[in-house]
Amino acid sequence: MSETLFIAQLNTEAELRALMVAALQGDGNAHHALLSKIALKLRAFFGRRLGRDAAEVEDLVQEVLIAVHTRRDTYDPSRPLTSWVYAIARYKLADCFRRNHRREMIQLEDDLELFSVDESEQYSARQDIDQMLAVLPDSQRQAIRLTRIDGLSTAEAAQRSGQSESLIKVNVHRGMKRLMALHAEVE
Amino acid sequence: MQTSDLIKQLSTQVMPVKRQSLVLRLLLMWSCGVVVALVLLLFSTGVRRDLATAIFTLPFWIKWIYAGTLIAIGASLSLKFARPERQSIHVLWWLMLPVILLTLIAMLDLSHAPAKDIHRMWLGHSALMCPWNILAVSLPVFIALMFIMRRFAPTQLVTAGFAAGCTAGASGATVYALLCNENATPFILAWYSLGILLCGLLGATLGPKILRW
Repeated sequence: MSETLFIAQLNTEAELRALMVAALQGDGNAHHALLSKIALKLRAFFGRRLGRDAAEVEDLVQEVLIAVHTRRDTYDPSRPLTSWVYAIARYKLADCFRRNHRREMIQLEDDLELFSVDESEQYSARQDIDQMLAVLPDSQRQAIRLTRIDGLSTAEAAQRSGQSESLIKVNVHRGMKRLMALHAEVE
Repeated sequence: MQTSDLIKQLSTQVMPVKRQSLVLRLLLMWSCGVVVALVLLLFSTGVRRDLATAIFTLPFWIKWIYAGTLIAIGASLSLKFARPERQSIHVLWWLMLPVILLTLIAMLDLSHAPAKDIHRMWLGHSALMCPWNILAVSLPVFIALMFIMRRFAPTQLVTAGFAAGCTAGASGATVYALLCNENATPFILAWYSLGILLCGLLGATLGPKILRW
């Protein structure tokens, strides 16, 4: 999996989990946002599996949303939310096939698939990051890329770049501060 | 209905969910099942006549500790399989832990026993009845657990049914121990375990039919 796809994946997880945690405490708006976001992913996921039949896809989407709602106490907040939703979606899809006496096998897929971003999103996310980092001096850009995007530890990043560990920390800090300042200006 | 309307409807009154909600709901239904099983036992056969003295004897407590451990393991497995994420079914081997321990105790008892007693230690006087009685006493707990598991989100229905069935079987065995006056550990090992296993197999068989959601 490419690094940008992986980051997008992590963002989805973090974002949805935050909404879920709020929803579990009774926050209706968070619940609404969560279900809406999940519905989009589900529609694409079932669409790929069931093909043209839009009504059938929508029925399944609704079934899963209802299950996510009524069975939300089976979610364990210490585990990934995306896997939990995926498991429900997969079960409902299998159930749908069984009901229709279809013999299609559902392959055991990576549960990241339901929440993976599509090609164009992936491409533009990579472009955005490149563009954003372009304003920084080389040393800061390199430090941020290695630690924040490639996910290396400070020690590994130091080894890879030839900068000292403390320099990496300083450069990440300065670079992020600069980016945030720029971002604030734009908004 | 439009999906957006459905989402709006589901989001209007969102009840907070307690962190331990799953455990509490399982515990509540389990308790209801056990109470019904107790009442049924009291009104059908009653308890063993010497119960007041028997509860101070070792065989009685071996039964309760054996079944109690199986209840605890079975319930935590049921909770695992109550969640939708795929689980390795190898965790079911945990159920063998108390069985192995009791086997060791039974072997020790048999090795000390005179040869003429061994037959009686295995079969007692109620070997043929015991597993079926345990299965019968388990039924209220079985129904209660299957009902609540269905409300959760199991996706491996055979395994979930087996775990819940074993939990119900062990609960039934605990209640049945109030009536049963067999004392030998080989008897408990063979026939209590068989009764519990029967209940587990019943769960595994019915799981795909009644746990569907």
